Amino acid sequence: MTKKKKGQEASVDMTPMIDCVFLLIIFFVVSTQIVTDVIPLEPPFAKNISIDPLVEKAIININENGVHVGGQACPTWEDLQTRMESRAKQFKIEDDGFSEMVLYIRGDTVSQWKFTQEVLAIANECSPQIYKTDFAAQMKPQR
Amino acid sequence: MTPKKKKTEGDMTPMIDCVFLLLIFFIIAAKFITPEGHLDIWQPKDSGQSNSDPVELEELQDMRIYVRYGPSSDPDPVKKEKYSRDFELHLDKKHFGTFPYQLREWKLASKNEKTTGVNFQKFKKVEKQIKEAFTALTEELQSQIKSGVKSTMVLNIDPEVPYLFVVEAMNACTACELEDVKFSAQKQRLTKLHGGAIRTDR
Repeated sequence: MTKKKKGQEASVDMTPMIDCVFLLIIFFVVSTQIVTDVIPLEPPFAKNISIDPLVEKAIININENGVHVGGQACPTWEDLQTRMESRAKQFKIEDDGFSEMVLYIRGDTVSQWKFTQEVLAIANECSPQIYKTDFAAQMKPQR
Repeated sequence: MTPKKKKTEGDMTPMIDCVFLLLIFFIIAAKFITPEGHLDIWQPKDSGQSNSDPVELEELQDMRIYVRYGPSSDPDPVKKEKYSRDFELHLDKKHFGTFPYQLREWKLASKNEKTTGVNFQKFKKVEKQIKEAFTALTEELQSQIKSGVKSTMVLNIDPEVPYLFVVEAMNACTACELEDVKFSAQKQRLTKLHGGAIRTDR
C-alpha cells in the first residue's frame, strides 16, 4: 500500500478545459441571431433560389393563424397597410418616390395564394410604394 | 529591507461556474434552422398605367393552376351528391397533373404528427407528385424555349391554390431563365371581405 506523502496536494490543470469552454461560448455568442420577425412556419422547398442574408428586409409571415408583421398578427388588412407604410418610411426613398425596402413574404407551404396576392396588392398601394418583393423558400435538402 | 513577495492566486471557481452556466444556456437555447433563400418577385413600377406596347396574345405562355370542380367519386350516396375538388396544372393546353384538394387539410392535421402519421404520409405523397409534375413541366418549357417560341409567361393561379404551387411555378420559370413573368389579375380584393379582417383560416 502506498501512502500519500504529507504536504503534497494533487491538482488538475484546468486551463485547457477553460480554453475549450471559452471557445464554445464565443462560437455561440457570435453565431446566435436573435430573431423577432420570424414566426415558425414551413415555406416550400425550391432549387433555384438566391441567398443574400445581408440585405435588410421587412418580413411578412402568412400561415393559417394570420398575417404577421414584426412577429405580431395583424387583425385587419388596413392595419397591415399602416404597418407596412411605417416600415417603408424607415428605408431610403428612391428618386421616383418608391421605397427601397425589400418585402420578404414567408408563406406557409399550404397558405392560400389569395393572401399573398392581397399582400402584393397592398404593397402596390402603400405610400411610399413598395415594389421589391421576395418569396421565401427553403433550400432543397441534400440527399 | 524589502519584504518577501507573496504569490497571489485568484480563485477561478466562481468564474468557471458562470462560464458553464452561460454555455449550458446557449446550448439549450440554440435552435438550428434550415437556411432560407428567396425568389425575386419585383413588381413593375408602372403598374396601373396603360401599356403602350401591348404584347400579342400568341406571344404569351400560359401556365394555369386552378381548382377543378367535378362529380364526387365517393360511393357513399349521401356524399355522392356533393362535388369533388382537385387542383389541376396546365401549361397552355397540356395537362401535367391533378392533385387532391385535401392536401391543405392533411398538412395542417400533420403538424403534431410524427413522420409515420397518416396525414403526414398523405401530404408527402402529394408533395412528391407535385414536384414530379413541375419537373416534367420545366423540361417541356425548356424544350419550347430552345425551339425559340414564346418568352413571356403568365401565371394564372386560382386564389385557393396553396403557396407551394406558386413557389414551384416561379422555380420552373427561374430554371428556364424566364425574366418576363406576369401574374394574372386578382379576382377579388380581400379587404372588402369580413369587414376588412384578416381570416387566413378559411
